[in-house]
Amino acid sequence: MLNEKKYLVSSLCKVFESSDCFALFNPLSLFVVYIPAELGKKILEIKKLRKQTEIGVLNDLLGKKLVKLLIKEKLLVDKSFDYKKEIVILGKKLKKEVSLNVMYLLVTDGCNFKCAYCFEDTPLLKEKFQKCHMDESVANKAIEKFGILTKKYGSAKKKHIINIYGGEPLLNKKVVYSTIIKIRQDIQKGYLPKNTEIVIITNGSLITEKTAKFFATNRVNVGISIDGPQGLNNEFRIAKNSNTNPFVVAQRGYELLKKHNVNMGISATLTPAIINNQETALDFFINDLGVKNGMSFNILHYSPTVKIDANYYTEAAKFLIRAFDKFRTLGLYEERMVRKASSFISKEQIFADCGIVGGQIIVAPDGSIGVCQDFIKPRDYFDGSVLDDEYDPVKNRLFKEWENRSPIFTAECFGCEAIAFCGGGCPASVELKTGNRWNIDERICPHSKLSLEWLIWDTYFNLKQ
Amino acid sequence: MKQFYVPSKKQRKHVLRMVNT
Repeated sequence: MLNEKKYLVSSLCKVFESSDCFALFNPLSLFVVYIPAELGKKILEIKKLRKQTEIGVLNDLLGKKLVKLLIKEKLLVDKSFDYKKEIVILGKKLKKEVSLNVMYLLVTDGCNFKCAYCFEDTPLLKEKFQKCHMDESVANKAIEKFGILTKKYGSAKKKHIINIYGGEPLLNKKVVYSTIIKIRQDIQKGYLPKNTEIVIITNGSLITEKTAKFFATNRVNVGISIDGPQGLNNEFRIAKNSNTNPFVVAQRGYELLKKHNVNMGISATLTPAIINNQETALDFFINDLGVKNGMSFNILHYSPTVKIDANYYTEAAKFLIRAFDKFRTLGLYEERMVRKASSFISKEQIFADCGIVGGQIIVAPDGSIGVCQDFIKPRDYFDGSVLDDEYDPVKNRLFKEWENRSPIFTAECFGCEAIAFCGGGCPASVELKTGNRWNIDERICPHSKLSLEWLIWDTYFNLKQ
Repeated sequence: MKQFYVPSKKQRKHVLRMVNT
């Protein structure tokens, strides 16, 4: 028929294959449709030809309803379709949604541990490092500054997070206590939004009965770092005092928090020790530690002092899936995989994993404001101070070198099935390793790709039952 | 299988099993 509309298979049409079924996936909208393998093979043939096919022919090959659906979802497109333009439109939309809702308050940059993989020790320093504790007056100014900024640039719908961080924050316990009291008061007075949450990240070694009670009373969420049972934990988590057993003191802190019903999550870094002893590690977290609330597994950041195998990142990605598969039947929440599952379920794209795109500020112990705690020791990318009432990091374009650091603005990611599902990992880690923050974070590619495919097939197998 | 199948949000949510989000 003359003038019959013609379509070709879009560059956006990503095809996942199994023996009886193909899944067609739009990486920008996160739309998925399952079709019989015989139809999938026909689509692959049409895709390979890279030429337009009349709609009548497509209807005969695939069925009218499916063709209509694939056109609607931009998996079949006419020749004027420009997928790069679609990516740019999505990128602009997601960038507008970035909101300044998080502050990392570094009450000290000193630590009583010297963990082998610590990312704060990765940057090269020009001078000898001198640790520094934050004064109470600086902490108070930071809280006030964050209250102003997050009301102005944050999202009221999302939680506002003040993350008390270090080093080991409890080395400056007096300021930790005064900070928590000040935050609670400022929420009451309306200086901070009502949905502000307090988080503290600690190695657990300095938690006492009094600390645990205080955290419980003030509804502080505690992240405590434990990398598996003693033998695995102590391979990479090392105390500066050689008489201190890092595992024993962390576990003691954990038990005190548990005793007082403090809301906490275990933060476990996927060291080579865990990757090589996966069942032992999972058994420890589930049965020995009795994780109730949930936990987060961390993929190692670049560190020149930790040697990893070439396949570490793929093995870490597979471990995350295995752990999630086990945890979900027990109702245990693992932050990294739930983040992926939530994106897949709601079809909400992930612009960036990291708040460095404008979602966070870091306040150093001296009050200076930065974009990422990776750079705390050399103070790279810090500008202005909480002590300057006029300073506004957004107006001063603190984030200008980082605000587009998303796979969606990275040409190398344009053909990737996980472009809007990935988040791009850690720009700071990439910069420290390669010298260029725009390079791809090799830590995250396997995690994004493997978890996406796993979620697609897990959903299909469930539908089949 | 049918000619094609688009999973609903509820069906995609099944990946969470017992996890409460």
